[in-house]
Amino acid sequence: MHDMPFIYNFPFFSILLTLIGGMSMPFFRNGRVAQKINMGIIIAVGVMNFILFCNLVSTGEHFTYMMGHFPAPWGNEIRGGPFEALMATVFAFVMGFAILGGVFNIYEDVPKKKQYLYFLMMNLLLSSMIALIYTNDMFTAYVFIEINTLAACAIVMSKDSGETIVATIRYLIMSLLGSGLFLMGLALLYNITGHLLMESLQPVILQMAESEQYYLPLTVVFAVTTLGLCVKSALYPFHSWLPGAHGSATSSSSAILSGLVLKGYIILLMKMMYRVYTPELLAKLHITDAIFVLGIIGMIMGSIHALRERHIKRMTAYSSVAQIGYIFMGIGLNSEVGMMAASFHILSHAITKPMLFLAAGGLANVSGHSYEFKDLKGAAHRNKIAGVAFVIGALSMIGIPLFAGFPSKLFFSTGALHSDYFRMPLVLIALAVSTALNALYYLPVCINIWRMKDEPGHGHGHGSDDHSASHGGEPEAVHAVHAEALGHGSISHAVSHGAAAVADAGHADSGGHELLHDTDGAHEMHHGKTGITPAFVVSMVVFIASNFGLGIFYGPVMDAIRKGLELL
Amino acid sequence: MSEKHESHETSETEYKGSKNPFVAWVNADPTPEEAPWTEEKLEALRAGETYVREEKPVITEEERARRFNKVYKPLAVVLCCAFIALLVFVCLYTPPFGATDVPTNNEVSFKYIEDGLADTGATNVVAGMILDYRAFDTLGESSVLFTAVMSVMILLRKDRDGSLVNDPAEDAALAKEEKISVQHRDVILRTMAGIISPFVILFGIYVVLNGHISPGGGFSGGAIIGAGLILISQGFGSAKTKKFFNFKVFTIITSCSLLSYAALKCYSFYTGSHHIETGIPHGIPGAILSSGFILPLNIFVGLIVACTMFGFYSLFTKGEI
Repeated sequence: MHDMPFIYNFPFFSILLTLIGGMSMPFFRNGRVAQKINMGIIIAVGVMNFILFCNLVSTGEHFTYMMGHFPAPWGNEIRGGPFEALMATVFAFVMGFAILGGVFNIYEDVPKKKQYLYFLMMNLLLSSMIALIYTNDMFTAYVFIEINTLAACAIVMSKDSGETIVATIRYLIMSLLGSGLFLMGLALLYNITGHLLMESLQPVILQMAESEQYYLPLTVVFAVTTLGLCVKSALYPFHSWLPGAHGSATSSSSAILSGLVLKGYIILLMKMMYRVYTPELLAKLHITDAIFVLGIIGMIMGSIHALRERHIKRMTAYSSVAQIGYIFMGIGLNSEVGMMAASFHILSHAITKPMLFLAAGGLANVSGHSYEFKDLKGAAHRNKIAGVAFVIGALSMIGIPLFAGFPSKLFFSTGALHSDYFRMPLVLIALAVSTALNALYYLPVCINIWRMKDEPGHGHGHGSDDHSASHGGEPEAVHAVHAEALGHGSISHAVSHGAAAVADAGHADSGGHELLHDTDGAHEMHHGKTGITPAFVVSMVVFIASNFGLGIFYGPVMDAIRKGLELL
Repeated sequence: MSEKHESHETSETEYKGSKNPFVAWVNADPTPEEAPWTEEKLEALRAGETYVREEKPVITEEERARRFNKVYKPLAVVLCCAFIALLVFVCLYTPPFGATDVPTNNEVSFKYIEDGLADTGATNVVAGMILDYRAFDTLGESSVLFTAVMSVMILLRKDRDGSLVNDPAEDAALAKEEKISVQHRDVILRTMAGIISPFVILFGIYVVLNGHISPGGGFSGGAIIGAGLILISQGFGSAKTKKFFNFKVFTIITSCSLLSYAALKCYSFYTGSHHIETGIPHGIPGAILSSGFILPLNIFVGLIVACTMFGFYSLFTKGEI
């Protein structure tokens, strides 16, 4: 194979380039330099994979690439096809713009001397995700799962607060449980097959399934590895770590964790389904049935949990639980169409959810760094681009036409129509209910952030001219009671307003005026850095554009996915 | 003026919360249970009475944790036992250990054992496997160590920017402890550390350098060297270790070893996938300078592991290296 095209080196280059980038970060102990290097590497990876993707789609080929001098059953291998190249391209794209959009918050949230470590972790995270996408070897997959786990935990805890530490501990324990289950399954698999490479595993497994030898261990292997990956990608009953980790981390981390890290494991699972286990065998062992049921439950329960949240990032995080439910439901449909719908939803969620998280971060930046709904009232007027992006993201998640979420729902229902009579009604009902629930929790937030600015002080400030003292002070006094009674106004500036109101309730007129001006001044100073940097605007615009792009031109993407899955 | 008046009115209804539950919810107003005011209370407030907050029975965090544990602990035990039982049960159906006709005795392990020496030049088959046949996995494993130590650095390393781990009281206590331990050295520990640690480190180096000809290698040898460093730090205090092993040295060694490892392996992966000979002689089997890249790779892995061990130790005890 001396005539191997040069571009077939690109997956190998991508993995090694990101890995080496991560390893060399300690030499640049400066966050800003590290960020620039990181961005350069991400762009290089994105471009390389995009070229590879275009080439593989047009030629309709796939290839294996030896990592060393030894071929298939002995040495390590990676494998590339249109599916893998597409996913890697999108991952690099999303990661680049997620970092760009959240870079203001990274510099604010991460202690200065540890910023280069944050970008180091980003490099390793991208490296591990690309390796998970391209791997052709189960043990390589496990090794990079480990890197992925650690790096993902590190980007959560790099925001130095008690909340994130607790969230990280939870995340780490659940994530390690997942890795442990995967490793146990892998050990058992090697024990009964004697292989680790996907290529050589499949014939052995098929033959084993036919002869019914080692049937029970095989079932357990399938169940345990799938379960491990489900825990790590937060399928419904194993989602408990997700809202904390995604809700408390800095915006970029939330965006990347939700948009990409969860999907890396799902893509690995899909690859294993096609290249190792075969869908027929999984259906026979009822693994897909279990995934299907959990996916359906997740679709509904994730949304119900999201309904109860009053914290915009936690709500968005619960929405991710629901969306992961969609993807697993598609996989559980056990048909080509379902798999394609799931793959498409991976893409549409990967470009929508980071936008939502970044927009939420942008809105919080102009609302005293509070993520509570009551503090976010009218926030979109203070940061218009974030407001627009949040609304578009929400509409996309609900599944309004023209946005990326719509085609995936369309494909899911198409997939349902192609499946058996047991699944079809379930999927259609779940889709309808879940869509309604999505609308129920996203729309109020959208309305809320676009409400006119109605801070308590302003109405009073104007009104106090022609009102008596007691009358003028009243709403604020009530507001103070409100803030106190709710008891969680620690971060909200409502408290400071309320306190000012209490202080001046007695001597209203002129004194009140001055005090209000004072608090407003403090308010402005507090919001002096709004975080609406050019980088943020660019990232939001790109995410919005790509959302429309995927929502309108879904045809070619779907064709590429179909081709990729056929070649898998 | 009337417009302003209106805006005042709306803001008042705002803070009372709407009667319509849907509107209240859209406004993100507190739910009726949370809302501390009713019409009567507002009237009372207007009349100048002070508002008395009703005490709701508060469920404390501990109480909640206790209730949670009451269900959770037994459930976890039952679940774990069930899982253990399942795995043990599965083991009954797996190929018998030590039998010759098990699936793991296939062409893969056969080639590793039969052709290992010729392919890799290493008399230690395991070293040949992990550093030549499946070197990509080992590169990943070394990166796992690197990721781990860097994560711990994010979590525990002290910086002067007011991070959470910077507790001045704790710092003072540590400094005091250090001072006392410097003044009152543990004679036994110190003497023994002085005698043993050179041998420990020397043995570690031996294990690393002979990784390709005898059992051992980078991972085990590196762990031994790391243990030796920890022993020195225990016996003579961190100030002594710092003289030759500070944060800068740590970073340089770790990063350089990893980068060299990656560079060597890049070369061998690239040539391998293009079916080009590497041109690295395998040497005489059994000699120290043999088996191509395996010796330098072992050295790099050993350095990474030693640094990681010592890094964990010092980050967890003092929060710095």
